[in-house]
Amino acid sequence: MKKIFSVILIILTLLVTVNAQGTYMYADEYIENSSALENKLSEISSAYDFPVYGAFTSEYSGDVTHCADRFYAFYDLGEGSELTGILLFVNPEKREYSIYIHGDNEIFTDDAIDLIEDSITPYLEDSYYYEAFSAYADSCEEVLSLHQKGTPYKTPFNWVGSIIIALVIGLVIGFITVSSMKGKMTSVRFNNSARQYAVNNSFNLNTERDIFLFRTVTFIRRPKNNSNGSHRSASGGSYRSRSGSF
Amino acid sequence: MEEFKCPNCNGVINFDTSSQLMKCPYCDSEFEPESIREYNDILKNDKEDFLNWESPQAKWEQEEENNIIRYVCSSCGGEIIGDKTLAATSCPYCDNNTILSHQFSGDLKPDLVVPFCYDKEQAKKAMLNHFKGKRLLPKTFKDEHHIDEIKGIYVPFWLYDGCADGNFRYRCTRTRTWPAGDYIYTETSYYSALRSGTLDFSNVPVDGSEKMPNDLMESLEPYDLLKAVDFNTAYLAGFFADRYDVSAENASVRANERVRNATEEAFRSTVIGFTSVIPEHGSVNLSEGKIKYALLPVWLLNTTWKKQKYVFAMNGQTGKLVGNLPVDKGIYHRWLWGVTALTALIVFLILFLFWWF
Repeated sequence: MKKIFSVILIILTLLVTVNAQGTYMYADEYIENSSALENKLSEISSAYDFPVYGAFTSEYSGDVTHCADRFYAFYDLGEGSELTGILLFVNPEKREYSIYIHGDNEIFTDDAIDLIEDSITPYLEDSYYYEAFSAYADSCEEVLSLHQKGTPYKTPFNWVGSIIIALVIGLVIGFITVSSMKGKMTSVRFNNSARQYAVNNSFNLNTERDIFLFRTVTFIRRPKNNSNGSHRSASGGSYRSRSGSF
Repeated sequence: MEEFKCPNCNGVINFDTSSQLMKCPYCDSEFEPESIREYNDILKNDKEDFLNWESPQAKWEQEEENNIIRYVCSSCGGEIIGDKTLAATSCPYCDNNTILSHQFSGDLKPDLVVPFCYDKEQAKKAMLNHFKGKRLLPKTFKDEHHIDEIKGIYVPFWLYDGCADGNFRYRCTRTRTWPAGDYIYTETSYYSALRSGTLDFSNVPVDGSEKMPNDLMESLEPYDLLKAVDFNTAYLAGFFADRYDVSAENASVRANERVRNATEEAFRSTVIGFTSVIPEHGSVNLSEGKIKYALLPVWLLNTTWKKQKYVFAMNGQTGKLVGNLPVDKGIYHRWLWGVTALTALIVFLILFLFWWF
């Protein structure tokens, strides 16, 4: 009996250990279908040999990017010498998120981060957290798939926007050009100043005083830093992130 | 009425712009203007015909109310009609140049004259050069326009000297910003800047003829008045001239405006080191004012194209030519849309290449 009980205990411990080590979706708050998200992220990570993590927790305080960094280090996430991986960290209480990429890789470019951010923000704003993490997983899969094929993800060319910008700039340059030409056609104009008739060295400044009157001070809140620049992480190595609120 | 005779051949002589001397077109002799003036005075004393000029004056009095004055040419007896400001002209019958010296006598005598340095042919060439490089000029304008008239005119000007005493006050701000914590701070300091002083002006010109558009005359500036000479009717020979019909007092309004603007600019340029400067109050007083009456040379070219008149004027001293030209709307739109299309294509390609790489 004792032997059977010990075996069962060992098996349960192993299961918990295996589950803890293999976790890709961390949820301290309730999120529907978290096991489905776990499976999805796990499949993508295995298929493309690149860990894709999700975190849904309100237990961390402070700047959301630093929270993501601390989370990444605490749970010892990432693979390889540089602990490479990508993490979507969402704090439902403060309604903030951070797309956190650890390690130096060229897979998740600024265009790829734009893709992920654009896919998750509509769901986050409506508090559809399962859908947001699912969209995050899909976007990561798309990027990793393209990278595997040798074509990094690139934002599609904005044809309409580019045509509009080109036409506006063209019209401005066109108007400036013909206005300059038209200006040459008119040479008759009043000369409203007698500056050229001022006697040289006759300008005599008797009074030159600048009197201070009063001072005002105003302030505005600094915009949030959504920088993609590389930073030093708590676990060593470098990270990039894009954060925001919803 | 005055004309200048050649001492050699007794022909009527004119002022030659290239040599700046009086030149006889018949025997090519050249004379100093002062010499011809003296000779002319001698001739005046000798000639009995000059007694005849009294009778036309009787005729002038009759029609003076209508502003039309009749003169009789002393060479051919032909009748010359002009307005009350006409001072030098040519006889329409014998083309002799005549100067109505009574227009420049007494209080009407100009202090200075700037002689012509450019002749009629140079004026025509300058006008053709004026068309060059004007991409919006209708192609037919150069070919189809015809010059109605080219006149060398001495335009009456008032020249103003004076000392401007300015007092100005400006509201100025100086700002600085700095980040601290989660905020960006902006500090704005307000100042009152006081400036006062004096600035001298010399020979500020205002044209004294109502017939001459002020903007046209101001466009011809500047004249080099250091090259002006004391007035001598000899310089007028061969050219048209009018005496002033805008008084110095009336013309001073424009001179005051120009002097005030220049004074404001000069003082404003001393207010430096501020983020913004707004004038609050200013006053300009003029003192030591002097006025001179001068005749300045202008070539006037009137041309017609498609039943529309275009006036060009050339500074008879410096050769600067001004005049508004017509704009061909078709060419205008072709340039506008052509440059727009080309620029848009280049910008689009740059955006695409930027995205690609």
